[in-house]
Amino acid sequence: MSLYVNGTAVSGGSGGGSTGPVLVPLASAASTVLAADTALAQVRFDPADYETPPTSITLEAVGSVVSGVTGTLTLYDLTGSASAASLAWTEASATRKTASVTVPGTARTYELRWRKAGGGSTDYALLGSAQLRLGWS
Amino acid sequence: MPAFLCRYSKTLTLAPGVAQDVDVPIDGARSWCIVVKNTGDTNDVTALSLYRSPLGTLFGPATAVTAGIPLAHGDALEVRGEHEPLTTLRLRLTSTSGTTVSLEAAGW
Repeated sequence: MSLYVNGTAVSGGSGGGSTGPVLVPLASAASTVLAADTALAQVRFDPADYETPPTSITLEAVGSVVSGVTGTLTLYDLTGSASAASLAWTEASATRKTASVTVPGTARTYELRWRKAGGGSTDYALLGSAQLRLGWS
Repeated sequence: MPAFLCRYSKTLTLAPGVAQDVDVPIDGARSWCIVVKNTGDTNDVTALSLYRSPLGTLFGPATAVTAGIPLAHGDALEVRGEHEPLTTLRLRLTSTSGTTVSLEAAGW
C-alpha cells in the first residue's frame, strides 16, 4: 500500500513518528522605525482542528537591524492577554531565530507585534518573514 | 478509456482558520489520483490532513501532509494512492486567511 503527495511517500496515519512540520504563515517583510508595537498579523489557532493536535509550536522568523537598533518580535496571545513568545535581533544581516510557543488546549487568537529600540529616528528594524512551525513528535 | 471506479470533482471555499472536510469516494479503486488546486487570488492552503476509511463510516487517525504545504494561490498538489483498500479518503483542508480550492479525483 502506498500513499504519495507530490511524489513524496507519506506514512500511515498515526499522526506522529516521522510526520514533518506544518507551517502557518504569519507575516511577510515589514520594517519599522517605531518604538511602539505595530500589529503585523492576527491568526487563530484551534487544536480541535486537528485529529491529532501538534505536540509543538515554534515561532520562527528572519530579521535584521541597522547597527545600534534592537528589533523585538512578540507573539501576543489576545485570548489569554499575555505574551506567548518573543524574539530579538541586534544582527545587521538576515538571521533566523526561533522561540517555543506553548501548545494551547483551546482555541487562541494571536497577534504578531514588531517594534524597535535604539538608534536614530530613521534607523529601522526589518522583519523578513514570520511563521508558526507546528510539529508532531 | 478504462471505466473509472472513482470519478469525483468539487469546489469549495475555505473560511479563514476553519478546517473543512472533503470526503472523496475512492470506492475501491486500486490506483487513484487526487489533484487539489488553490484557486484563490492571494492566500495559501496552510494545512492538509488525510483520513482513510475502509467502508466509509469509520475514519482512521490523521496523516498530516507536509509535501506541497503551504499550497500557494494558483498552485496544485497531487495525492496519489496505490493498493489502498478504501471506500473514502477524507481530506481536511485549512487556510489561515481563507481561499478557494478545486479538487478532481479519478481512479480504477
